[in-house]
Amino acid sequence: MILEYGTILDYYISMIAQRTIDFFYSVWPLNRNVLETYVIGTGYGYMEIIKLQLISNATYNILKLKLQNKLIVIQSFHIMEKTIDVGDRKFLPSIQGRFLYFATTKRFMYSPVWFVDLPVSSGHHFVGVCGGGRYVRSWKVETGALSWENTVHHIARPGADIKIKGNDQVVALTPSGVYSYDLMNGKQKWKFSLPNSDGTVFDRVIVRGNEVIAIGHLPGAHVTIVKANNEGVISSQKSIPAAWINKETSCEVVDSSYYLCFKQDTLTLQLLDLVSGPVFKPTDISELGLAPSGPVVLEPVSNRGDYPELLIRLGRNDLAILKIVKNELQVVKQLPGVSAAEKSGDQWVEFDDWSILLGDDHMSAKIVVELTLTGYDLESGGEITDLKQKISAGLSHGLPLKVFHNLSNKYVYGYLVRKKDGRIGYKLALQSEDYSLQMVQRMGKVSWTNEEAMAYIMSVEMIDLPVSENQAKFEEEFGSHKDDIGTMFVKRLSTQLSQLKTFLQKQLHKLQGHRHHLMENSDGSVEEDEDEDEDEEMTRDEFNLNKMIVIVTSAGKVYGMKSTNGKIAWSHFMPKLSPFDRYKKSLPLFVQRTTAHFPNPPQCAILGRDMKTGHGVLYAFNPITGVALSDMPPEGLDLGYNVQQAYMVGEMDENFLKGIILMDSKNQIHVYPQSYKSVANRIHSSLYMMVVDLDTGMLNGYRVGKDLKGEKVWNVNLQKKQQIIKDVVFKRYNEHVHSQGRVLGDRSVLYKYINPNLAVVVAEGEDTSSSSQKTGPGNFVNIYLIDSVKGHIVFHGNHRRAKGPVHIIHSENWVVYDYYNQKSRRKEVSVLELFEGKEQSNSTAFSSHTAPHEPLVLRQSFILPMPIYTMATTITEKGITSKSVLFALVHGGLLSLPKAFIDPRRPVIPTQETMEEGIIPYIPELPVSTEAIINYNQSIYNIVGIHTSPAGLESTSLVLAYGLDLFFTRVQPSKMFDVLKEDFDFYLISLVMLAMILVTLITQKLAARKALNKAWK
Amino acid sequence: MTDEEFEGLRTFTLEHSFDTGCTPVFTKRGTIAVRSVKSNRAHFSPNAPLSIEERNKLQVLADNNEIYRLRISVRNTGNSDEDYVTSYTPACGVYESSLSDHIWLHFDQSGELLGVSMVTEPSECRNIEVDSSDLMHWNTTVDITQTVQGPQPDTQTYIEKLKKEESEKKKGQQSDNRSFFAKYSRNNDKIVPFIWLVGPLKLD
Repeated sequence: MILEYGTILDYYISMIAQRTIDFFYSVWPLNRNVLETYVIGTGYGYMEIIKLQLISNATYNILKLKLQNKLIVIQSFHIMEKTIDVGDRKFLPSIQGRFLYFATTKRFMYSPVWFVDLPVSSGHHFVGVCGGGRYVRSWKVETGALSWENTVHHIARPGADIKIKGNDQVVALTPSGVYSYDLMNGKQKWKFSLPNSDGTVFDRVIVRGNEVIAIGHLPGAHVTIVKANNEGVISSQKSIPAAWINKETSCEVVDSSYYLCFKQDTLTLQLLDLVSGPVFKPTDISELGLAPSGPVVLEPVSNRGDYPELLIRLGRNDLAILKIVKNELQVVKQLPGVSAAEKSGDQWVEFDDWSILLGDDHMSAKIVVELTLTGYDLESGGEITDLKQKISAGLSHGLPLKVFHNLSNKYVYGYLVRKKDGRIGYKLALQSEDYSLQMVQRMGKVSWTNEEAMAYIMSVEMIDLPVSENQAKFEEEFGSHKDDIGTMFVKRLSTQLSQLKTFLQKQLHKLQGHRHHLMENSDGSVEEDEDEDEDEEMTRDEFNLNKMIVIVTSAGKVYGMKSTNGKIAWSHFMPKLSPFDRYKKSLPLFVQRTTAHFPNPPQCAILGRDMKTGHGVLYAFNPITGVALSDMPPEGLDLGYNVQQAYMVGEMDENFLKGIILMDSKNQIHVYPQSYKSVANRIHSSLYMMVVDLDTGMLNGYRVGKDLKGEKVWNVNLQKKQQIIKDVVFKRYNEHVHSQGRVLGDRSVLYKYINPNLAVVVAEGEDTSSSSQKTGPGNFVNIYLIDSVKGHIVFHGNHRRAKGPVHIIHSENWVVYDYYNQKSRRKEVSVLELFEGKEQSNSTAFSSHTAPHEPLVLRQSFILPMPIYTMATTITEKGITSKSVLFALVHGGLLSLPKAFIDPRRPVIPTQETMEEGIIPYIPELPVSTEAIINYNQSIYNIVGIHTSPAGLESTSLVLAYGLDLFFTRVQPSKMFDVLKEDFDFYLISLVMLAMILVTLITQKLAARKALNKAWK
Repeated sequence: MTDEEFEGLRTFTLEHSFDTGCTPVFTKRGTIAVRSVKSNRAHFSPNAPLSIEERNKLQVLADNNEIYRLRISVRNTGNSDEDYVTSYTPACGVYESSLSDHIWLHFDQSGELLGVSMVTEPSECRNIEVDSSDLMHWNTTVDITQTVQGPQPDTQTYIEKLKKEESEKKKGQQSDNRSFFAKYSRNNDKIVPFIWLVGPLKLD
């Protein structure tokens, strides 16, 4: 079927900038004329070095963001899957609360060898303790190349710190001891071990003159201080009783000579003088005149423990600056209403004819809740009026959590400037609650914003763009059936008139457009051009290839992104929104109404959980414009109950809106929107729900009763004692299955078992039975196919000596999943294909009650030659195109493998029949061909999900891979069978056609003449 | 894990309910004796024929398009969630099939009962009237499914196939009297990349 001629060019969005930065370390300029600086960010399993250029003219430009704007990501290390308990070392010294929580979950999932526990940078080098205190590594900042590496320890354990002493010495605290290395070549200078046999965790090291001090603590017991001299010889060692200390206690080093802890339950600060103090000195914070409004956290200034000041966070936007003078705590300033603060450094640096004030010990800049920037003189406590500034943007980002504003010669990320006229300017980077990073310049102008929340995508949907105005009018004309002939005729005429009008306008615009472009070229600005493009893009293209990608992130931020260029069209931040984490972290996004139902606008809904109350939060909006429904509060609708289960019903109401059915913890059924209740009442007998209880290992099935009350009708016990349910996967709700069966070689049909209610449940456990004693301890993976309406287990299989993580693709009549085979030490992929048999039970409708209960389950396994992050399958408009399975490979590739390779019917010994059917003979290993890597050389790492979406062309499926990077492309699993090739020769074909017609006409004439002549004879 | 471990005779009590609503009352329907999980041998012995009251209840359920529930007691901890596995089926099916049903018991690899499910035969409802006297005795078939071993890559057969082909190749150098297909079967590996290129063009 050839639809139309069309050009398809592969195109990509690759947003390498989308990474979450936990640490910022910046290196002082290498070249003072072109002030260059490198910012090093480390996160979970990766490190990146960003090169910033500060151009030495009147304006200070920090160039970041887009690739072409000199953002150079030199290296990103991917991570390895290995569970190491790195412990609860607070390695994000400045980012707490939600962020830290997030971090710990991530770390639990994949604690990598490359994970940088704690880094420090100096000049050309960036040094870090990595892999849970196992390695000390040094990288060259300019290239990101590893310059040296020392293996310290073999088992990952909590506790790591690192300092640079002088200009050439690295002092690294690791779980096995304190090591000193030469900064240049990594040669070990000395080491001393720490007295940690009793379980004391050492996590701080201080370099103080010629002394090296290591601090450790044992929860419920004591704090241990070990002092050593310059040669690594322990000079003193003492334990200070601290029975109050526990895992949650927040402790910080102040002024390199004090150790300050905060005791949460009694609201007491415990201060220890590291030099002379024999015991902790308690001070109630009420004595200091402080009253907390939330969890209290101590925050070091500028991520460093050598300042005499310290920040104490008393609430979400309540801070105070503490100072220790002669073993006495003082409150320097209380900052009510301030959500983040930062201190400037301590040095002046001359730069051309500008004096950059890299710290004048008396200054501190802060951001208050209205995003007003205020500067204070720390000594006098007075406000620096020059610094008072309102920050124009950023309100959609929530409160700033951290100001990166390190102003010493080692850290430049935002700084104060003393201008010629004596006034002070500044540049700040701030990280907000929505994880975004902004650079703020003088006058409160935001010079760039980086949406780091993109690294935490929870749900993705691709929404069709609306049709153009003209097409919309057509729809309007045929959409309503109430009009009589007269009005319809008038409508018809007016539509055609307006069509003519827009046609003429377009032509006119074209002419004007040319002139416009010429003008633009002369003055070289392109900005307007871009704006113009944006307006045009918002309508559907011919093949419906361009979509609005709606992205929901766990930061509570929702984005609308254009698939054409990856630009963010709109965004919305809900500070209270958090994902469900009952059995799987999820933040579902429902497409309640697509763009197809003009004049009704499309509608999407996000269902999350309130961070504090745990109540369900629902936010409904128009996915194209990002505008919320008129009755929707901007922070989302608080449902007032805890949501136990929710899903979108396929049945539409009179406005073509699909309703959402929610069940609260008391099994009461709720409906969104309220108007959908009538529909729900009508179809309640066909509504069912499955709830997975992770705590008991139970699967419970509910049906919706007459009074919209959830009635428990079935349960399955998955034996919590033996195994833990890891994942439950349903099919995609918008999937179409074109072919009901498979035609075999003998021309008979094997009918597919297509059960839309089928759920795949995967559970993992440890094998403790007698047979495992011979082979050593092993794990197992169980897979269950369960009909979620009936509670019938259609199939249950067990993989012995297998381990997760298990990724599942569930589509049509097949399930593909992977696991790690412990016996053979390799990744394997298994496939289950379900068939009803040679006869179909009911060809028109499927009912879980009448369907065959024991379908044929064909199964096979394959060896996966490469480790993968995740996998997904393609989806197309009508499901005619054959499917491909997409694998996100750990080495950075995105592999597209035809499903035909993962077919359980592949025969080991091919027969005539299988040859006829075209099944590929069985080879245990799946082929990985470089031609099948769809991202070519654009490596993408740490992919957590792949979302596929149908396009208007049946042959095409749109793919968005997300994780640390975002990558968007199209795939055509059956090639472009519905589009003419680009090089299709129209001229030749039409020429031939014309010639043929001509020849036909001429020969016809000639034949007629010949016949006439014949007749005369 | 040996198969003999759970091959002893085990009995399960089957209970059923004709109630509607969230808290149905269950009564004993009979017992299921499982003789062997591995070889799928189980037998249902009913407790007593359905009473008139139960028959009437069933008819009401069927008329109202309600459900018939059943459950099996697994253990005795006092927590009803843990003690039973439950299932249901449309009541009209039970009524119209004159109490002919098929019960599946699902066991895991270590012999624990995971779940139960029930289907009536026939399972569709056609709104037929059934004589009350036909609703006395159960005609029940019990089937057992046990967690099966998941698939594994079939490297053994593949290697054997390769070896066989190799030896055939050696033999073939002496005499070539094989069938057309056998002669070229070793080239199948080379066909794969070809199919890969062409294969996707073939529609499902």
